[in-house]
Amino acid sequence: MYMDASEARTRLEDFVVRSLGKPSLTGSDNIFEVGEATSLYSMELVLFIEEKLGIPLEDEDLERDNFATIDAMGKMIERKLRVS
Amino acid sequence: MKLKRVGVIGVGVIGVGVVQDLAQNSHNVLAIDIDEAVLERAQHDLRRRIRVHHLTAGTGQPLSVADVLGHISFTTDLNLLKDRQFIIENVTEDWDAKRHVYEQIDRISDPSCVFAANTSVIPITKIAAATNRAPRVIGMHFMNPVPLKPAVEVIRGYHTSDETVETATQLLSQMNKSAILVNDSPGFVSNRVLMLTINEAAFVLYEGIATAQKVDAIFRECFGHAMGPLETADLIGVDTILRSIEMLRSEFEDSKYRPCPLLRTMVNAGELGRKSGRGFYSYQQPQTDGQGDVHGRE
Repeated sequence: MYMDASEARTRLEDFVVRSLGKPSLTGSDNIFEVGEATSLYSMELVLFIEEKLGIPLEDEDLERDNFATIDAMGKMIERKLRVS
Repeated sequence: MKLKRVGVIGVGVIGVGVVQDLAQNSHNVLAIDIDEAVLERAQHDLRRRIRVHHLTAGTGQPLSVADVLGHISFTTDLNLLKDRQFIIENVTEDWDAKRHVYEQIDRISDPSCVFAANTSVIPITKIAAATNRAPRVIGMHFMNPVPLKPAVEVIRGYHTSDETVETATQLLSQMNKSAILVNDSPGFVSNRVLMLTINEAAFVLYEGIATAQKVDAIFRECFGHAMGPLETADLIGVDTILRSIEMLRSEFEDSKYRPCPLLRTMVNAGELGRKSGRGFYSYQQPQTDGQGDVHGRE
């Protein structure tokens, strides 16, 4: 792997904040509840994690709880990097 | 009787969403585009969309990508539309392109087949006049992302029959959507009201009455809207907004649809919203301190 979990989380956080246009978003805010821009968000997030961060996701990773907050996504990424 | 065989012409962003929604609700879908590359991209895009649909929709169980794709056939051949019961057309908002498609499918399709035009701009009555089945032509203004929207603005053209309205409502019901029926008029309801709201919000900013953030905050925090009008403009594209307002002014010949000069300046400057990285807000790459540069126009 080319990056550690901390770097991956920082890049993910930048992506989420920038693409949602929500600079005040915190790690525990539920991204599915912050507005219309989240509507295609699942696909964009999965693509970002798989293609930009290079972390392949299994179908069982694709649970809403894993994507609801930046913190949850960070934990999932950390877990995936640990076992890879 | 359930409508089963549906044709979808044009599989760009909205068309793909229509195909996905129909297939996820077990319709036999014929997806057509004149461009092979667009069809290939649509198949690729559909796999991704179906795989993650349950996340955004909050439906819990993931769908089988293979099962859903099994409901869809992809082709460039309009002749295959002859067995369709219902056709949804999503060709680009260009009258000559649309008219050419309608003239062809009118010859090919079964006389009982209903045509639904997915447009936000072109009058349904005008589209119907390009066919010999005006009573069976209706407007369906799907919005993005189609599979997540619970309702569709449905437009009755001058000659659209009650039976066609019923058929269109039934198909939407099979897609778990409701129909909001309105009469034909430039911009219908959605674009006529939304574009004037965005235009006036741009004037408020242009005249120095409030910043972009404040305008949007009033709509989000006071009215409870999901997004403010200027954020919405950035999402749709400032060039699309300007074109739509100009279309309304042209159709109604009414100066109340005068575009705010700021919109024209932004379009000339290439500040088109999210797709160009800057519009009423900036969506540039984050700074080295990791803070996203998301600030509004003042």
